[in-house]
Amino acid sequence: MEHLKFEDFYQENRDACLRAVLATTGDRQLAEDLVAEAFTRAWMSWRRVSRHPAPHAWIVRVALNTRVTWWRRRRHEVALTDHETVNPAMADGIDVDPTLLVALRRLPQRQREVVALRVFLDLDTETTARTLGIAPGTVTAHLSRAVATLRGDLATVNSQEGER
Amino acid sequence: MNDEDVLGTVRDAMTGVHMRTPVQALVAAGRSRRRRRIGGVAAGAALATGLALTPAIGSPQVNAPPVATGNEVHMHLAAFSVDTNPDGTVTVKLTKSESLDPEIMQRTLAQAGIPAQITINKWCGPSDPSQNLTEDFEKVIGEANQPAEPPATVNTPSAQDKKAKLEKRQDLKKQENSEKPETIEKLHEQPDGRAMLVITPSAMPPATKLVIGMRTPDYQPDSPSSIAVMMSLVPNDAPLTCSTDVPVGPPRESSSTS
Repeated sequence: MEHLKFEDFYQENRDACLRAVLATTGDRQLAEDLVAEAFTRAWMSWRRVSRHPAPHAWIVRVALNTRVTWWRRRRHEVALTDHETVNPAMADGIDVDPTLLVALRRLPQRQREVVALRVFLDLDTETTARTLGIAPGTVTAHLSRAVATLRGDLATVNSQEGER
Repeated sequence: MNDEDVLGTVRDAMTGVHMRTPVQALVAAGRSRRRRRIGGVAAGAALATGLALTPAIGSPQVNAPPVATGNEVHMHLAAFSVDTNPDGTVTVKLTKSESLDPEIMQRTLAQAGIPAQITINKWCGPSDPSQNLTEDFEKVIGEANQPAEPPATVNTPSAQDKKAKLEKRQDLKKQENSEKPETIEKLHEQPDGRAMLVITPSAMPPATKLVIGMRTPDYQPDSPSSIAVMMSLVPNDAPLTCSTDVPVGPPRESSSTS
């Protein structure tokens, strides 16, 4: 029974969580790995996670925290490929619009996280604020700035496409 | 474009993104980790060094009776030391290759406010798994007491070996990771070759004790497990089931220390 509930949760939320993490990281494969890791942890603690007020937000938060952990670990192991420097347009983007990833990558990290939670998880301002550990007013400010930046970038892309 | 149009464009651009990992893979990974955790840390509450650290235990006995001053205990012997700290915690260090008298160590810990049952080459745990006080155990031997970056190994012959062992431990740690990570590796090997453990006696519920099983370096050398010390927290009256088999745990490293 518990397993079935987890499976339903996974089927209903996996794509949204993946898109949210992808919007934040800009790396398709990394996002998949992080979300899979977060869902695995959710399965191991399903009794607790299932009672979370926004379990899909928990998944995204754990995935993003895991990313930091992995990055730190890699940083200590070898001086190497840094996911922060991955070119999003080249990151296994066959199912992603690279233009959008480029636009998202131009946003500061926190703005990207706010956009990801608001757009892909459809969280309200309060829940977004709780998930990110910031004030609701800060969420609103970040979203407003992010939308303004994205509007400019997307409008530029549209006009360039129109000229061709 | 108004705000909704912008966010709608972002949303639409990702509609082709789908998670490819099947749920069965996640569940299988979770089950595997659970099994490892139960095996490696004695039903979730035990402690394993994760190092090929095996303090020598047994005759000849070289320990002297402990000396306690009031509630303070500062016992420094060749085999182990016990020090009460101003914050109420107790630091225990074990020295490799020195014999240890379990009765004296048990008595010293008791004077430091830590009821304990210590066995050599025998590992005990509660017959009823529900009497394994895992949550309290985490408080008694909490992460807050641990150094942020425990040394990887000692007595390793080369920097490469040290790095390889560190990576291996990190992999093990990653595998054990869950919402309550790092239940393993609470016994840290210090640069001086001694294994250190910080215990918070005040976190032990009344009428409970630590059950500690230790392994001598020559015991079951063919066992693939690297576990040297395991611990659990149980009620004083809990029936225990013991085994002389080395508990399942992280595998020995090829260039294992002795």
